[in-house]
Amino acid sequence: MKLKSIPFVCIAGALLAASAAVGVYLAFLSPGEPAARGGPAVMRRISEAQYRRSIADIFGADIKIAGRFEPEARREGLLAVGSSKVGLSATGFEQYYNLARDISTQVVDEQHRSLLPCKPQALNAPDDACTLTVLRRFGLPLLRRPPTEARLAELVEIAHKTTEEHQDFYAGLKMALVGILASPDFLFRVDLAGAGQDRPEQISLDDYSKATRLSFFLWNATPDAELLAAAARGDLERRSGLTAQVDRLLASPRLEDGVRAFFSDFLGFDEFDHLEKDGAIYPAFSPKVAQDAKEQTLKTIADLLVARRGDYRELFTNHDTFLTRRLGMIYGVPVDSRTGWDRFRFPADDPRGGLLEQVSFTALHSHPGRSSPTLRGKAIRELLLCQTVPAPPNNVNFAVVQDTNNPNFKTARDRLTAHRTEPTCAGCHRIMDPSGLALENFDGAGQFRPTENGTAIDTSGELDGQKFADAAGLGRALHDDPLAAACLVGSVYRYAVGRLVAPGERDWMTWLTKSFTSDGCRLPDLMRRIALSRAFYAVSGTPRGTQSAAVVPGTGSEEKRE
Amino acid sequence: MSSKCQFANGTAAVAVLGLIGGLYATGVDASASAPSDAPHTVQPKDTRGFVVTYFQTAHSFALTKQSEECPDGFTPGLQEVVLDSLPPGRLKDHVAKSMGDRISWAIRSSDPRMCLEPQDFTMPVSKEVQSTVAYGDNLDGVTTEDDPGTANSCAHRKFHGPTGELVDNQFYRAFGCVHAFNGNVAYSGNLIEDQHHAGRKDGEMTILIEVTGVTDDRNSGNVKVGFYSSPDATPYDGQGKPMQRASLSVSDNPRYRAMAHGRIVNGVLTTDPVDVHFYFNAVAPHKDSEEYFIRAARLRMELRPDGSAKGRMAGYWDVEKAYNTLFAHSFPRDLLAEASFGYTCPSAYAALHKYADGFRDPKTGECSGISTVYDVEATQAFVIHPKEDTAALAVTTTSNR
Repeated sequence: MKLKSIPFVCIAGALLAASAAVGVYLAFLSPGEPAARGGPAVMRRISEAQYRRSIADIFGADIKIAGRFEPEARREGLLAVGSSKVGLSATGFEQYYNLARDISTQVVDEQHRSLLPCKPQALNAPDDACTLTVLRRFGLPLLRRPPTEARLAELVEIAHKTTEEHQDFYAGLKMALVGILASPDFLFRVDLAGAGQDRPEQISLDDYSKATRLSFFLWNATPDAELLAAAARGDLERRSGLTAQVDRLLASPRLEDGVRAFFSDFLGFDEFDHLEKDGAIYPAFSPKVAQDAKEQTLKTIADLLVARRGDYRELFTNHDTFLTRRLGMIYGVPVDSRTGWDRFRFPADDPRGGLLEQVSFTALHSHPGRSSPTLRGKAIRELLLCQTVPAPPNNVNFAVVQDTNNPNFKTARDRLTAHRTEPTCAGCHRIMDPSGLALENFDGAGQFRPTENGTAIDTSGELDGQKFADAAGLGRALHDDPLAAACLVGSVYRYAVGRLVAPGERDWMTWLTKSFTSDGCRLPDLMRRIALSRAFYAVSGTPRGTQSAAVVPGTGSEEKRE
Repeated sequence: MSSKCQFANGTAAVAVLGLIGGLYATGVDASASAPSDAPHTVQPKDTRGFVVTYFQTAHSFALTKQSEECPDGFTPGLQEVVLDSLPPGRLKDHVAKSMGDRISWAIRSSDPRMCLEPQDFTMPVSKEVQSTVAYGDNLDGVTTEDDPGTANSCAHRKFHGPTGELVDNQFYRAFGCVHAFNGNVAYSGNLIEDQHHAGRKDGEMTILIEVTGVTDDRNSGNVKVGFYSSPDATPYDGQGKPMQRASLSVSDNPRYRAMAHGRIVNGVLTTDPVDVHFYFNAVAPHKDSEEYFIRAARLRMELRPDGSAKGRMAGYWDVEKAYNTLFAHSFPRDLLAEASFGYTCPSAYAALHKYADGFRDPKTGECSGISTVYDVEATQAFVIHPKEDTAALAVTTTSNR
């Protein structure tokens, strides 16, 4: 089939056609919760992970997905925000179309056919009723809302004609499924919104958009059948119904998937895909070590924040983690399990404890052949404190910093001190280096080292006035820094809504941050508070009937950074 | 339920407790409790672990000129033996063949049972080493060069060590003039040992050493030294160097665990004698007969600041195990080896028994162990014991001392 014959509905058309179902604005606030008018509706391309998870959830985990995905874009610190800023290139669409064809082929093959809700009356003839049954069954979870009757009729007609052409019912059904999988309604999460019934001055997401936003936020997955059913019943418009669904999602083991997805984004773990180390300098570091390092941090986070409901800020001081033998060689500690993960606790006085000392941080924010206090300090500022560090000027001379064998500058501190004599460099390095130098006991692969070139490493420093002697002190400084908690709250919210915080949400964000800290900085509580807020579902702008991401683009100015 | 967190710098979180506290987490302990299953932690400070990265019979041939070592030439290999059995007319034809063809022909001409049942065949015995210097240790304590033997050892001639002391190394005497064990020989020199070393790099024979009770890396008067086989392969980096700090498991089989008393003096670890089994899984699924069984083994190893160690282990290599490990793997590799490397299985088997000098059977008077010394190199590793291995191995001593 040629591309031009794909049952492709253009984005605007799909949005307008599907926007008949309009939600109502939640008529309730949590105690003390300021009103928030929300931000613009957005349209977010689903990520590769979300695509794979959706297919596995709907068709089964044994469906193979082999192909390339459009690259994601990081905006304002998050891929989740970037997902609402990206489109789909012609080449990218071709890739998604090939994926859709391969997946549909597997869904209708003899191995998986038994999972379909009906069998055709004849294998070589159209059966519109059966086709319609299948499309209703899979269209709902794939599109995250019921397909319109017009859309279904169009797909049934495609299946009918293809079946007649090939004398094969499943060939026709396959093309109808391709039509769904290659459609923008599947590839993009589209906010559909309209005026609320009881608060007509406020635009809010419709029920299915609420369900979608909720499910991707808490599970990083497409809404399950129960959540879609709740949306269909209008349960999400009622406090009790929404609460029941939010608590169900939070109580599920799949909450861990959602938390891991957020932190993968928040900590920039997509950079692991490009991480390389010089094997001659760091022979113990391999691509498998890199993957283990990422997983170590995610397991640590899930354990502390989800399983143990711990304080987020303990991530910077927590000595409990998980290790493989490969990682054991980097950390220099024994690991019992020959093939799996061991729970591991560093002693209280061990310099390796919190998130900052983990290989996922020290190695990721280093150069291929040497550590980098500057990159580490920049990551602390930008990732963990949500501050912006200006890019260096184009004409900077890095020769002194890069020469790790210079006998006059044996340590990174020596080299950076010399480098900072450049006035154009001094300003930024002053805010990055003091924290990054505290991690100099960890080389470019994250291995502990007490000395560099035979000289003892000075790990003292300060973070916004709080002085410390070593990496553990830096961890405590971050633990105690109010900006760290505020950064997390702002990032979780931006991740959840896929956009920047809108001006009208400033008071609400302040309230959210204070609530988070006063509750002991428990991430599940924060996620619940967001999921139950009306800000989470509110859409800014003036009601003009039915609205959608495509027709209400970015009303109101957006803040540069919360 | 929820605990209010205070910032250490005095910035108090705003209290909205009570207003929102009831929304969630009812009945949930909000404090982050420690993990329920006990986590593992760093190695005890009094423990030093190693994985052996090099373990071969010591290269005594390097101490002597070849003309003094093997003045009568080298032990004939299978192809030489077969060629010698030919009448002059046929010999000429075969000598003219290529090496590969001669080896193939020698194998085809030989009885395939030769290596599996070497005692049933008669071949020229090994030519023994004539030099007087070798690496080794004085295993039976006799202080005369012509060792008459003791209640536990058989008569033999001792070597002088590089610094003049009397040492036992009958393995070198028996096989120093065999091509496959003599690195001075350009053709196939030391080839069997090199093959074994390559096998060890593939994880076919991983040996762990663990020293506990270390109070000082330079001097600790009373330490325990565990010797273990491991099912894990030693990890190597992209440049072929063994990697430090690997976690490697001790075998589940108690047969492959032994422990000795030891001491560290000026950074050199020495142990009392102990019987050790190291399994060797080079050819087929492991059989007990294919293992290193070294009796009255004693280790002398320098512990280096970089975490590595280097030294030698001396002991009596059980002759039957030595034969199985070195010569009798399985047909046709054995015949190929003896045809290529300059020995015959029957001669090797006979030499092991002829030169055996330790573990004398009081009834027959024959010895079943041959004094041998191995070069040992090791690098830092973590020795992981089986979970059920809660009771420490008792320190054992050999009955030969």
